[in-house]
Amino acid sequence: MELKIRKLEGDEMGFTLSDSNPAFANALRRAAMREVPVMAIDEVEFEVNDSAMYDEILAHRLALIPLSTPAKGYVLPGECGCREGRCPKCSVSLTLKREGPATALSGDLKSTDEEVVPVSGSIPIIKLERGQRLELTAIARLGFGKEHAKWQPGVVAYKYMPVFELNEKACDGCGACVKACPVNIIKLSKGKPKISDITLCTMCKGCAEACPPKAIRIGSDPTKFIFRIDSAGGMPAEQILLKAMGVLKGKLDEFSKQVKKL
Amino acid sequence: MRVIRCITCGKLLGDKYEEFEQRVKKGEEPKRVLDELGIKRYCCRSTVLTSIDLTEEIAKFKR
Repeated sequence: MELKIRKLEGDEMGFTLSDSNPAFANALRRAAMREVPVMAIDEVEFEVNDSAMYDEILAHRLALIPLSTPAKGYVLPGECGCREGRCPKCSVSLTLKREGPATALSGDLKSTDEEVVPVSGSIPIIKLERGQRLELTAIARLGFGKEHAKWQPGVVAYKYMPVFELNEKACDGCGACVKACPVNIIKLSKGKPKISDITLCTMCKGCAEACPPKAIRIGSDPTKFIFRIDSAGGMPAEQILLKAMGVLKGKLDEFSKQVKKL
Repeated sequence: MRVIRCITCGKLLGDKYEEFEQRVKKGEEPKRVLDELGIKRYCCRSTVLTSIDLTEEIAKFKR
């Protein structure tokens, strides 16, 4: 199995996984999206809410604000000795105080830990009219994406590596495939189509259908995968991948331990 | 208020509406603004293009 990073820019990451199989690719994707814990607001106590929205709706909006999550330092509420999920080891408290006319923004949330803050300060929570007040305390905890989407660290997606097969003898170099390609990755070189970057291929088979002598076949390689990780912002994309691998390894270790017991 | 994350994929959109709205009002093409804001997937693009802010309408009434 081989992993090659194609792109790594802040919240986005692209890599190819080769010499693998669909089961492993899917296990990796699921581990990354469902089992990598990140911080999200889990409980909100309202002191004052004069706004146009109900407490529940505001709590829901607050929960969806992505929070930056340090790689270490916090434990899951279930694994913490405090049992209540309110101690500084497993929770962070964020307070908000705002009076209208104003828009309460995510940047108005004051956190007890400067490492756990909203990834963007300009997310509007609620618009307050004159005289309306909003005062609340929110408690953020670690959690899993399998429990609620607010705890998903990001979006992980993969596709099979496309394969462009050309019957050199049948190809007459007419260039119909070049025009048919919606992502413009086919170029004619010495009268034959050449692919510039096969990872961009969407497997639409437009080139195969447009080819008059039917010289092109589009297939896929089920041992190679093109992955993309798009972080929600709370955790860098490469860290999501590393943590997902750790989760997967832990599960496999546990599995082999259980099998040995049999 | 507008959604904070994309309804389909969960990408953060809440902090991008204001810029999008202002730039489109000034006459820029929505496609270009979406591209420059880094909104790539069509789920996020349709969410930004089609959502309407009704807070001011709701605020007239009692909760």
